[in-house]
Amino acid sequence: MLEPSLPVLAATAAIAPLPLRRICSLAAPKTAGLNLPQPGRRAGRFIWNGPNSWLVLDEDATTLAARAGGVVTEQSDGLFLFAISGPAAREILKRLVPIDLRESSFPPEAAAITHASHIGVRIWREGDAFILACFRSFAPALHHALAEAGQAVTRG
Amino acid sequence: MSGYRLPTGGHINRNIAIPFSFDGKAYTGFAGDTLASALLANGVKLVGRSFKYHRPRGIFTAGSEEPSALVELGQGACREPNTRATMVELFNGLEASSQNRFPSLKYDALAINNLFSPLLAAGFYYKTFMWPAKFWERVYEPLIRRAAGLGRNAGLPDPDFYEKTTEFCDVLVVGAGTDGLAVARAAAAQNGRVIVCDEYPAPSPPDLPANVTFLPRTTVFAIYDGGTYAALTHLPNASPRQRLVRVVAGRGIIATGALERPLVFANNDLPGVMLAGAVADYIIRYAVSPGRNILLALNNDDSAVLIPLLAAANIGIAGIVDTRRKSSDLVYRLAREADASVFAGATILAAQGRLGVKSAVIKQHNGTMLRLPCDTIATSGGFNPNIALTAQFDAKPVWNETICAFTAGMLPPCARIIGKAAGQGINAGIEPHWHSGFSPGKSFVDLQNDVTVKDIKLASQEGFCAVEQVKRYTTLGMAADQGKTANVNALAILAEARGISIPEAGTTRFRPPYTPVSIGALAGAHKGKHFKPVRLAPTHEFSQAQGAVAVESGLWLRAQYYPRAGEGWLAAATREVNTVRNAVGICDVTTLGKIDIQGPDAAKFLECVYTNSWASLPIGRVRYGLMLREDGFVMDDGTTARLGPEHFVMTTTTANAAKVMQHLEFCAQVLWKHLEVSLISVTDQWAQIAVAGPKSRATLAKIVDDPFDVSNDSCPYMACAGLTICGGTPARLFRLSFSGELAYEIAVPARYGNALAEKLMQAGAEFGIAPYGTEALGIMRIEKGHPAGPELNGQTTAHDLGLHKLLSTKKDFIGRTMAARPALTNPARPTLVGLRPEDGTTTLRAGSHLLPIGVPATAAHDQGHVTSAARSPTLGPIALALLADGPARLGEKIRVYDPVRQGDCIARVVSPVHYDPAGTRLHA
Amino acid sequence: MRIACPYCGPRGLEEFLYTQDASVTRPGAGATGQDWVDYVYIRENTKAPRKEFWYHSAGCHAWLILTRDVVTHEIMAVDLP
Repeated sequence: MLEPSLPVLAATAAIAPLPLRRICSLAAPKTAGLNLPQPGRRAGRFIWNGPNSWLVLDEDATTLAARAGGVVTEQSDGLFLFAISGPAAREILKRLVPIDLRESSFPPEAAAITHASHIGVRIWREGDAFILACFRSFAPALHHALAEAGQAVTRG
Repeated sequence: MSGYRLPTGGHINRNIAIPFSFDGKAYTGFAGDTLASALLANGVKLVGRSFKYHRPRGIFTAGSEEPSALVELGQGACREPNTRATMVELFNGLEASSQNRFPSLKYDALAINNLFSPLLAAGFYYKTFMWPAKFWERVYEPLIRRAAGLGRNAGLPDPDFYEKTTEFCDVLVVGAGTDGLAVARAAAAQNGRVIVCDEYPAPSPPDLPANVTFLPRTTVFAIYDGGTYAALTHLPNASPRQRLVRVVAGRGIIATGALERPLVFANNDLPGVMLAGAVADYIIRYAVSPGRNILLALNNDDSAVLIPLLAAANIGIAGIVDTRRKSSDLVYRLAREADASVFAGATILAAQGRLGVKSAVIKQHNGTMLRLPCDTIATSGGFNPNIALTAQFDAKPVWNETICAFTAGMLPPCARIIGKAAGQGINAGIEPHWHSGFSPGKSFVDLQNDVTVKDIKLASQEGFCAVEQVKRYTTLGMAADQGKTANVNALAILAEARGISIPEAGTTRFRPPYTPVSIGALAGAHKGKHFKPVRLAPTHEFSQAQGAVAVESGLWLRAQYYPRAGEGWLAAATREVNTVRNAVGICDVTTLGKIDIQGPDAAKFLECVYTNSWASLPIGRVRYGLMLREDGFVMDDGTTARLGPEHFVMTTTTANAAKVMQHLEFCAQVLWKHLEVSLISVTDQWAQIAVAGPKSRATLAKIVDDPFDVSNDSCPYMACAGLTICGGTPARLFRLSFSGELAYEIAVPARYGNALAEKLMQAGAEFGIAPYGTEALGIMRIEKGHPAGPELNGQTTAHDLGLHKLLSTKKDFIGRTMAARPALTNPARPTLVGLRPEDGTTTLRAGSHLLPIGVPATAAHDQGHVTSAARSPTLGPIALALLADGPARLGEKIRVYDPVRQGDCIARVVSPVHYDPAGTRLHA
Repeated sequence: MRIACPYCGPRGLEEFLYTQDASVTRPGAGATGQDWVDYVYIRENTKAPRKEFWYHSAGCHAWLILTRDVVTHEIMAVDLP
């Protein structure tokens, strides 16, 4: 087996690049009773990902395809995830993301597709953290933008 | 205290002394001072020279509407021109200088412009500097460029840090005056979030509820559709220097107050002439008196509040010149209490003085003239509700005859305007008086652009009657202050000159920003290298380790060439091409868009978007596809592989990946909604590497896992398959060739990209494998005549590129009918050919034009142009070109003309497939 | 300007891309060359609300049909195709 490699990006107190994770895209599922979340929502491991499309975390593509039907595509390598957490999380993100992330507008089960510093991102919450997922090739650029915003918040 | 600082009062902190300098001279002010108040406190009245006439100028206002006191702040890369001294918060070590004067502020050589003023009247540049014609480029323009402009750019990159944020709230209140704060508290009581912005560095109001955010030093400078506002926070001497705040508000409350307008009289631009309200501000806020003997000139009761202020501070009142015939009870009473004289029904005709006000000439109601000595003239022509934000939006202001001012017309949706900004509580007892009508001496209307009453009358005389024309002809209102203290006076003067009413004269449009915004703030973090995000390929670390020189390809960084010791780009690229043609090379091709297309109707979908046929493509095969636009021109090309009955993977060019995705989604969501097809980008999911050259099969054979067979029989040209490599790593193999050699593309999940590249280097080491970059890639594709970006330029058709055989006659596809238009299939159109220099050695350059030999080199004889050119290691200089009727002219000689780069040679027209035309190497 | 994407909710203008007039009908089978020229090039351009295709490019990639008054910029409706 070949050795995997990931972009080497430094973590700070607030910003953590995350290790690889199983992610699939599920489009046009056929099976009923999957409890798929509505647009702009996350339900457990299912995150809304566009019209008739979801991201599914932590499940193998083959098993997912077998039980959900529809079109399943591997995205484990295509997406890179960052966790932004801590008391300054929203202060950092308002410098990059043009949507309202306050608790009332972005509750724990919210999910959004938008852009951060000109880079397309999916945003959802896991526990105390905001998860930002971008295409892997943008990871160093998004990391730089996050780190710079983080520094500005610490400084100011 | 000596000088102009009052012994008590002001919101300044007299315990904190702040040293600063102006024009190299050291002064001291207090914490809480602005640069303007500190200068006035030190008796400095002359602070600049005007834009056109270089007349001496002072401080006119106490706020952001300041037209005259523009200084240069700071040094070196941080030097900022045209800074309003009234808005600069004093800080320790502040360095400021005056502008637009040489050699000094007191003795400015260009004041001589004042003598030439008849030549420099409004619109002078339309009438002067015309003769002799050849003097324009060499004499006039350089002179004008040196003399023109206000302030000097630092000329160095801006080292400061800027931020951009987005805030969401239910109510945005613009202006933290009494009315603004009251409405903010009321809104906060209804819950939801309230943001209050104020231009000035006011302290946070006491007892503000927790759900109110107070932003001082923050100017709301624009209002946009949809309840979006833009604001700029400027932090004095701090980082970030400025913060651009975009506010998305449910409702907006505009509480911006009203701005005072001056009376207009001759020499009303002398240092010492100020707005009456500003004089009051300096006394109240900064405990500074701008002068010792102040003449008031007014036409309303609002400004009378200055009278008791002056009296209480023991400042001499030279007189109260009230243009109203009967003045008012209030003025008479206050004047009596202050022991000052009232001149009712009188007007100031002219201010007098050289570098500052020394006296004023007034005309009394009985016609007699009087000279009143004074060192300051505090003038008030009334107040204008500050409706700039609503006027940005499209609401034409409405003239209110009672208060003699414009109020907001229709408001933007979800916005309210309150208080003085709505015209309430201003201009008590006002009687309009627009100008004094005295000819000798200039009566300024727009101070910043040096526009006088005479200019406005001149414009009207010359036929520029409409207010928008007057604005542009005279440049009134077009300076950085947007004519805040000038516009209404100008309209009234124009109306009078034309004999119409003010509403009939109309208004011009305010446009964002309300006050200047640094380009740095608009850019935020996106400058220099970070202007756009950079995308890195999954083999980036590998190619860097191999010494690649990178090139920007859209947002991507791609390896351009891999120089070894002593190699320049051409030597490296030449070696790389030779390695691929004779042995084997690897190149990252991840950046080309990859779109996963799946679903029961996937094949039908491809039939609609591609010109050629797809339903018949067997599983395990790849096919070249051509995509047209609806107008019949070529949009993009690529190869699409069939991995399963309902599973295709399409590739696009790197540059068009996003555009093609957009196009496919339009087709799937709008044009053919009934088709069951899903599209997803997998460009980043798979690292894809081209392995090309006669030894490519042998190299791959060493890494593919059994039982996969890479022989020509099992994996023929244009085959594809899923497999595992290197002991179980999932992969996809495509037998495709862009280089024209025996070649493959191998894809693995992106995490294995670097490792795959290393493994291939090891496997191919015995054959002399080398990585190759986009430069070598380019040379090889030109050798093979493959159209790429320069040929797929949006103006070429399938016929132009020799690809018309791909236009199916058996089915419909996007662009079919339009592509068949006679003009698009006319062979006389520039069509793809190859070129070789006749002498075999002259470099051909892309962009050169093609002309028949022996005719003048003019556009009329232009027959096409060179699209791509390269120096082939095996063939010498070669090119691809679009030539009128090209394919019918093979063997002809043509002139290749490149006047911009001094190129002019003869070339022979050949087939675009310069190398291995039979394609034998491909099918090895 | 803000556009209310039916999936994502109101978002800033910068997330969207206007492409073309949505009031013209794509010619079907049997259409003439002139029908195609009209579809590709000819537009009414009236000073009134019109239907437009917008793409949520920096969001969910939905294609939307906006009914928008080109004089006041008011967006009257946002529909899915």
